[in-house]
Amino acid sequence: MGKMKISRRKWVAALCGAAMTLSVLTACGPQGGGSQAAQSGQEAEGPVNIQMFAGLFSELPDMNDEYWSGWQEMTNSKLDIEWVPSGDLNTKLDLLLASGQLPEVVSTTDFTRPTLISAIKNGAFWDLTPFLGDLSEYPNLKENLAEDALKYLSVDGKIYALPRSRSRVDGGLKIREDWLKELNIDVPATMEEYKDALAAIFKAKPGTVGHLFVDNPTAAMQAGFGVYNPTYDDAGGLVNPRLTPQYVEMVGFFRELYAEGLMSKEYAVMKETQAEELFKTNRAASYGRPIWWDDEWEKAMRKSGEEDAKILNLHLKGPNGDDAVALETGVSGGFYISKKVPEEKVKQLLAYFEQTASQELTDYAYYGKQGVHHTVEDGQKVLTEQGVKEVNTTSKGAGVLAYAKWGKVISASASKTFNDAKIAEVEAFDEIGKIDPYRVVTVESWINAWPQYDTEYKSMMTKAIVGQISLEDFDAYVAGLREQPALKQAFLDMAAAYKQFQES
Amino acid sequence: MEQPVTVSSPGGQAHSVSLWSRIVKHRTIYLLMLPGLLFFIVFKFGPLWGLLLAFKDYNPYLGFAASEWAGFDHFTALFADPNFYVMLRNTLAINLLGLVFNFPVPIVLALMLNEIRHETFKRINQSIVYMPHFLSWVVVASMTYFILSADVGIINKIIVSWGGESVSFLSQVNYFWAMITAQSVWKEAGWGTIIFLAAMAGVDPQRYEAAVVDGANRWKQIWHITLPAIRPTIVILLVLRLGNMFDVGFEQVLLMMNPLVMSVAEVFDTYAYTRGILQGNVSVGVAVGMFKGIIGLLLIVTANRIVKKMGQEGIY
Amino acid sequence: MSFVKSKKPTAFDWVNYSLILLISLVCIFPFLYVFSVSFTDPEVYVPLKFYLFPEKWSLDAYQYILSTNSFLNAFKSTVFITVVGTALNLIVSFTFAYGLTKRTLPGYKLIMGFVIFTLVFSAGIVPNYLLIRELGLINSYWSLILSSLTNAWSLIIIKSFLESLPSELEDAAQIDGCSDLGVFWRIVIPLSMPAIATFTLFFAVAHWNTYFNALIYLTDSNKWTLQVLVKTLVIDSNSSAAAAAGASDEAVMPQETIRMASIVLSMLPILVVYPFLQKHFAKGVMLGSVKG
Repeated sequence: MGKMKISRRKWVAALCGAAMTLSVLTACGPQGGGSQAAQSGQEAEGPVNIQMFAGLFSELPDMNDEYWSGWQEMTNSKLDIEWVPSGDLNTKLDLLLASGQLPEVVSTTDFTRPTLISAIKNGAFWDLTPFLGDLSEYPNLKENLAEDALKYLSVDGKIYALPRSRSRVDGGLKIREDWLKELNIDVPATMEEYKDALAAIFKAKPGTVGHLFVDNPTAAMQAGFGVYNPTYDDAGGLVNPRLTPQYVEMVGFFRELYAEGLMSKEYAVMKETQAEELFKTNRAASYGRPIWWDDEWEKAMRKSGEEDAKILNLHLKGPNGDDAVALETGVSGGFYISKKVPEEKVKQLLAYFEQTASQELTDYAYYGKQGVHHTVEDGQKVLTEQGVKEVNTTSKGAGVLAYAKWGKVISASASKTFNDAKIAEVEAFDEIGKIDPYRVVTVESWINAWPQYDTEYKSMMTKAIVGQISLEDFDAYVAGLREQPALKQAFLDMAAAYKQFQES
Repeated sequence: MEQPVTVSSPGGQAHSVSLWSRIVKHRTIYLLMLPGLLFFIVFKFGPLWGLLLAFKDYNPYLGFAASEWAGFDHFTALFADPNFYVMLRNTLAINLLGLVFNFPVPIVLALMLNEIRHETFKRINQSIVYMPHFLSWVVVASMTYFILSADVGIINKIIVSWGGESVSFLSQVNYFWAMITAQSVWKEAGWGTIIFLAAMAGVDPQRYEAAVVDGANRWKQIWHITLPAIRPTIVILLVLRLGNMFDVGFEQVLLMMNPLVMSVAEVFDTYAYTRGILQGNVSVGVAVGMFKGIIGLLLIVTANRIVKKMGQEGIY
Repeated sequence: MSFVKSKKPTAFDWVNYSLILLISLVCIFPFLYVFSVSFTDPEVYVPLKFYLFPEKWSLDAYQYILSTNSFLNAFKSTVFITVVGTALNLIVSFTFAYGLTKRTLPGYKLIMGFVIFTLVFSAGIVPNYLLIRELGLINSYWSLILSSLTNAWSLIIIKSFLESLPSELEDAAQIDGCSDLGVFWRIVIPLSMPAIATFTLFFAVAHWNTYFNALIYLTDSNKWTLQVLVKTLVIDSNSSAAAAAGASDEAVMPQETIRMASIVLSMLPILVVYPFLQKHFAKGVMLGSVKG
């Protein structure tokens, strides 16, 4: 019975396929698609079939819904996407690599994953460098990507993927502006003022947590203490941010906060959702998370009883004048093309991705069709109910997209006034922000050496913050780690890789 | 029972004939076992080559053959890890606590449920104690936080309202193992009663009636009738449990772990998870699994031998 | 059973009933929260607040899950896997375990040795995946059913159950001229109802909640099982895997009401199946089934 079922299904599939080709053929004439697609001159044969493997960040999309049929029509493609829930993306990718049956395009969010890099080095994916050339045939990829986007996706100087563009401005160190106003505190501009502000809030509102962080110190704080400034040891190795003297200084700052009761007593135990819940229910003053949640969170705060709730993203200066603003790389992983794809098809796929980097498709990815997914209200696109359902993180997952500077600042659920104010609030971030150098490039020796120190390191750092060991002990411990031969070697390799990155 | 012919009979001929005749005699049994046998051969025996990955530097893309041999590297790395003895201690401590608490609690609970005479009351309560089994560890962990944390925990609120000092239950080394054990007892004890209740269902009610006539009270009935009836089940489950002495549910530990309790929380399964799954180092994961398996096998075989010496039916 | 009912409750009963009641309370308490939140209007839900009753009743969470694309597919396929899988589990496990009770069977030691070996050693994800692919079962529900037909743990327990059955009945049947098959079908199976009920429950719950295998063996998202689908609704930034994959920043924050509703869904089979199985757990049911 099982067999019969299968064969019948195949038959139906074949029929469907035939019907689809027919309908597409007949529809081919008037279908304009994007103007750029027409220019690339690969239109004649009808839609390109693309088999893709991609992460799912929200509920399962229906590929025949209004959004996706529109996307496929505009790009003249027929997408066959295998969605994998994001948490298990890497496990599944490893299995696909093991089975040797990669789909045509693999989309991943982590371009430094060791198994991926080793597969690249062993020839699993096409080297795209010769195809892309000087990018003169790919104007969108040339113009619309984030700074260094293709460099992030290079291995040994060759480009292996096209980026999933996301905005560099993402996280912010938030503080409750309404509480500052209520207590007549000026918006803090330095770390010391920040601490004083938290202390004043804590005094006025006993039981509130001052600064929240989970697992790793907020990136903005790290930037502020100069942790992300490339730091070299005597041998010329690029020291991991965690092992720099600046980091120890920052730990010292947190230690003071903790001692004064300005951090959650059990911050080390907290998980991200728990910290978020504290902040959303008006029980914490300051927290570092993506900027685009501000609108939603303010609404939650109002629901929990504070009508005037207002979140402000701080721009602090560190003790040595560093800006406490951290940036993402602007590249959230990339699209890799399997070596099994014939050369001709690679060109077709690149044409597809080139098209998805256009402004037109990027707008579509963010807002869908006008009148269906969004309406325009005082000059701003507002998602409709159908828009909220169909246009989300997952819907941005099938294309490169143009770099949107404020993509992760603008909230689709907020009013134009709110968003404009938000952009003004973080206007300078893109220029002054810093990126963790260890997220820019990675080397195998670091990946292999660090894990055996990682747990101990985390535990030492936490003990230093909560006062179980002295700051001197922690300093000595970190200095000792810097001298470990395996780590020293990794620093050197990192220095070389970082140099190559900057020079390429 | 023993057939004399099988024991080293002089002519090989006679032996094989008798073996063959015994096989023929049992043909229906073999037929019954056929689906299971096929399953074991295809799905359990077939992929066993995977154990060899422990001796390779497996690279998924290159595949088994092209990946380089690593010899015993992954094992020596595990044994040489500065955390090895810490992991050993933690793994054993959590499992010994499990043996002392998680193992007997379902038995006691099953006995208690079995003694309930009111049918509806029994059925309702039976269903209720199964429920925690269906909560994922993520939910259990966040509930634990809700109850025990120093910031928002209910217990600490009570302590403080009585004028006490709040206690950081979750970040103190001394409470960690107890907390893990308590969580598992809460989540799995009810579900664990099912097997014992099924075993108790096999007891002939007439034996209880006879005991009542003899003047035996409830304790005596439990001690002399119910417990002996479920003893084989208890023994089997105990032997099987010993085979898992090096397993600790890593999901639970990972969720309850934090930097301050790292020294008591790191176990072999978390090691295998971070190295094997998160970092994609398949071979390390397999090596750890193999190490745990060898110990488990040794424990099972030894326990089974002891159990048999004590006159019980072992697992084989 | 009637003989006990006439008795007056003793001190033993009082203590026992109160203790059970207390334990049940401890077990059910969180579920009051789970149920209430799952029926609470997401508009009024506030985190870090304990709900015993929904402040404002709403079926939104359930409606949301039900309206998810391909929910109906997932539901149907999960029911299929659970029903067919459990039936096959029972057949394969009980026949195989029955064979294992014959300790004089030629080859017994070999087979048993192998079963115990698989109890402690498993091949791991990669070889299993490659096997399923070689068998052409990728993207077929049979990959989930066939790869978990039985397991060493269940077999050993079932074997012990069967060994504890009174052997006189079997012997008597054999003398009466029953074949091995006849003994199995007419004597062993009816006597094993408590064990069958137990393992029906175990297997059914395992199939209903199957997640990982479904995730890696089923590539077509329209074939996903309920748990995979539900997991995408409640991707949790707390789950270590998601955090390590750096996915949490992109993942949409799930609504607590939906997460709680999904827990209720995962308990569905036990809520549906258990009442039918429960009578088999009653005292003395086994002998009754033979005599009757």
